[in-house]
Amino acid sequence: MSRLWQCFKRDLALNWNDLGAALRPVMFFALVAVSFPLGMGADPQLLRDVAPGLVWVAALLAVLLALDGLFREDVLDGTLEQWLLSDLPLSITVLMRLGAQWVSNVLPVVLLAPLIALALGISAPTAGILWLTLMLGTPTVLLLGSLGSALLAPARSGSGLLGLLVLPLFIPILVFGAGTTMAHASGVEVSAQLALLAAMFVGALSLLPAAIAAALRIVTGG
Amino acid sequence: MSRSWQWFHRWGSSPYVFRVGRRWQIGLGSIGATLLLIGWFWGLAIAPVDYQQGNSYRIIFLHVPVAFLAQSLYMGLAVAGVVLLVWKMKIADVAIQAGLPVGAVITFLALVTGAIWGKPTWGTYWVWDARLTSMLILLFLYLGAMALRPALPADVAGKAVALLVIVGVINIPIIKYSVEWWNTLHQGETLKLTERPAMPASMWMPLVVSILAFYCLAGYWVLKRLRTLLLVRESKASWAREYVEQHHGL
Repeated sequence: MSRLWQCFKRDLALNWNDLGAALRPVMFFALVAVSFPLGMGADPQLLRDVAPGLVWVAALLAVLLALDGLFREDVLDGTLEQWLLSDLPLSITVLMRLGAQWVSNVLPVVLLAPLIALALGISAPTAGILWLTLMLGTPTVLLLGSLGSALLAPARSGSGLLGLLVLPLFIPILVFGAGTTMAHASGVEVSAQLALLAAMFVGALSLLPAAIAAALRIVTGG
Repeated sequence: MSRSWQWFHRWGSSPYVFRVGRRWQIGLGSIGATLLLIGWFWGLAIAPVDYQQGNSYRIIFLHVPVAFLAQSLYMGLAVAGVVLLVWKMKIADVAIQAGLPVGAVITFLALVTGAIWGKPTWGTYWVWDARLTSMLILLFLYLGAMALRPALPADVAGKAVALLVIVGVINIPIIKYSVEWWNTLHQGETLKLTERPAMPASMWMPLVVSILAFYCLAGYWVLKRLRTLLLVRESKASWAREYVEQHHGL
């Protein structure tokens, strides 16, 4: 346990040292979100209607950026081999890495999202629901997507391909994340949808680490 | 190893698959072509005209078989993926490589024929209907799995693709369910798939024949690609060299 904690702190420290890289997803997220009003015109009604979907799509793209090359350096510098040799289960180590990645790369996006939503004209309670769906949904998305990063770990150039591999898998989260927010905006009770998002997170949390570990074993030939 | 498993292990040997596969290929190809001739002649010339859609409904004899196949092929490839990961059977890897482009083409065909059918029936080529959208996502799943192989080193690519296909197949029901839920949210705007009155036998029987024909023809196509891929992969092996020499004089 203490070793896992050390690994976690190491990953956080690495991300903290390269703060520019860690904050790239949130900057990208902000720019994508700002581009939409500029592209579609500033009609407040239109922006309010599309805001949940817009914020969610921008968040998915930002997570995609955070996923790019997630395990590539670990393959190159031998960290992954140490993980494989270690007596800690690979799925647990992977989970620790994803936790660190979520805290340092994705959490800023989740924290900024309600502000962007308010700027797009969403009411404060709905912005709160949007924040909640992102809190529940982005870890699932990160788990699903890191399966793609694991498979592409030995690939020279993976960023373009990663989107093709994992965006179709994100669709349920996108549908429920944005849909829940939109339902709340139109005055529908959303606790059932939130429970479903939570269920998807729990399902992903229990199944995907093993799949990601299998993917890492496959691509390292182990 | 007991005798009852011999048939299974034989399929691990490339020359055996190449030889027996040829017989299956010829069989499936000729049965499929015959069934297709019967089904389409029956469906296009003999079956009655639909009282609502007129003759435009007859695209059903192409559209429904390819739509069925698009999903069954993905399931089949996932089974091959399990066979590859559990029993490490190389032939399953070749089967996945052979099947993916076939599935992608068939899914594309299902989307195109659906769009062509949609124009006279719904008045538009595309609606964001749950079934159409999940078919489109299936196409992207096929394309993603196809794109993964060339990006990876050859020795690990097969298993990686297999894992991706298996994860995709677990996700398909979730995607389908979520897309249906998303669609009901917007029910006012979308056209619904017209609920057909129960089809008379003179319509569904040629449809069943066409579906069987397409399954046979897809089997033919996959086997043809599989056998060619075997020759390419094992071009150094003596049985492959002999075959190419005998049949193509190279």
